[in-house]
Amino acid sequence: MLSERIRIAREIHDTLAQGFAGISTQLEAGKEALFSSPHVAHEHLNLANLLARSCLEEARQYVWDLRHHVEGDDLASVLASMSRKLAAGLLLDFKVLGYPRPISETVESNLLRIAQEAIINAVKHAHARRIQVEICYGSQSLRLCVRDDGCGFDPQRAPAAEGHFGLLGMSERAKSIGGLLRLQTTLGKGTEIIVEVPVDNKL
Amino acid sequence: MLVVDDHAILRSGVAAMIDRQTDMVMVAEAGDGRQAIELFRQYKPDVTLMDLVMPVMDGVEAIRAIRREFPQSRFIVLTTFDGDEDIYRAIQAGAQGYLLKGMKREELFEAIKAVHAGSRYIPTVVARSLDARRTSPGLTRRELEVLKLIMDGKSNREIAGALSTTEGTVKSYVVNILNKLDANDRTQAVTIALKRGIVHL
Repeated sequence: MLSERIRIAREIHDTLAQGFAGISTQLEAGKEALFSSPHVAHEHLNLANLLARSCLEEARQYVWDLRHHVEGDDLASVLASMSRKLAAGLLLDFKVLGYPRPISETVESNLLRIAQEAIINAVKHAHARRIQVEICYGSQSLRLCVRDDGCGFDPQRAPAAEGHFGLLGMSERAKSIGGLLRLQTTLGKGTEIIVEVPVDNKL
Repeated sequence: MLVVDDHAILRSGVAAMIDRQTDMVMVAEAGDGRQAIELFRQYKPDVTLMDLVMPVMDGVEAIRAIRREFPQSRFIVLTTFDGDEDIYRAIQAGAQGYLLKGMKREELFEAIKAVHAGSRYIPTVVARSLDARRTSPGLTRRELEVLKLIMDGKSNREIAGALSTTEGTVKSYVVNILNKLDANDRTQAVTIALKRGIVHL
């Protein structure tokens, strides 16, 4: 299928090609600072490393997507099965609100990636026991909400720490589909990520 | 220097490299074309590094708008794309330099110095595909519309519906597209168009 090949090419461009360009730029910046300010070089290397890991994660997820994304499955059911898989062993509360309807592939795949990242963060970094995933189809917008009861974090601190780094990617994804990502988190009191995307009803 | 790119990690890396140079100063960073215009007005940088594909407003449009207001402004395009159409459009818009992301920092500095001094900086690979574009026929607006619909996986009948025309007319557009792109079938036409930057993902 031509449209499937295009979707794949777009994914690779948006994630891997962008990622490699970022890695290479950070490595060059690291080399530039290597002798004169080793601590600055260290920061650039760290960033390159984090980005490389996140690309690897994207590649893994991407392979998972290819295996599981059956044409015709709607966003809510793909999201449900992905959430079940990622949150295996935890309490998962999955909810669909409003009237589900088809939405564009670009919006769909970006929302799935955001949800994936949020759930992985909740499992890996926040050590959550309970995760709530909610998708709400409004008349003009689509809202995705991922909530956990994990350890939370201080968004002002350590901006390059792993969880925050993924956060930047999520926020960029939300922007790329015309949406907005909001984050609420308090140390010890869990994290909530809400993405709201305007949806054209004709799609 | 002003750096415009929607990818924050890349932008910060480029900005950090430039800032470490004794003869260059970063004045601002922007995440899309519209922001670039505002920051340009505010800081009037000597040289601007500009990504092409960005949300809100793309790079070519931003270069055009800024050059209308500031004809002396200088731009280096910094992009992942190396299709001849992208290069052609950027140069037409008034960019004096072209860099592919993933370049060495020496190349970056060389490009900035060259463009600042009033010359052009177009790597050989880029210049070659620019020549190819100049000698090949461009697609008409209608042909481009048809090509984009083919890309969306639409059949001739669906395309005819979308453009309020007949299937026969669409067929002749498709034949023209295949000829101009030197393609054997629709799939190859899309692949070539993507590679050349005539259409984007």
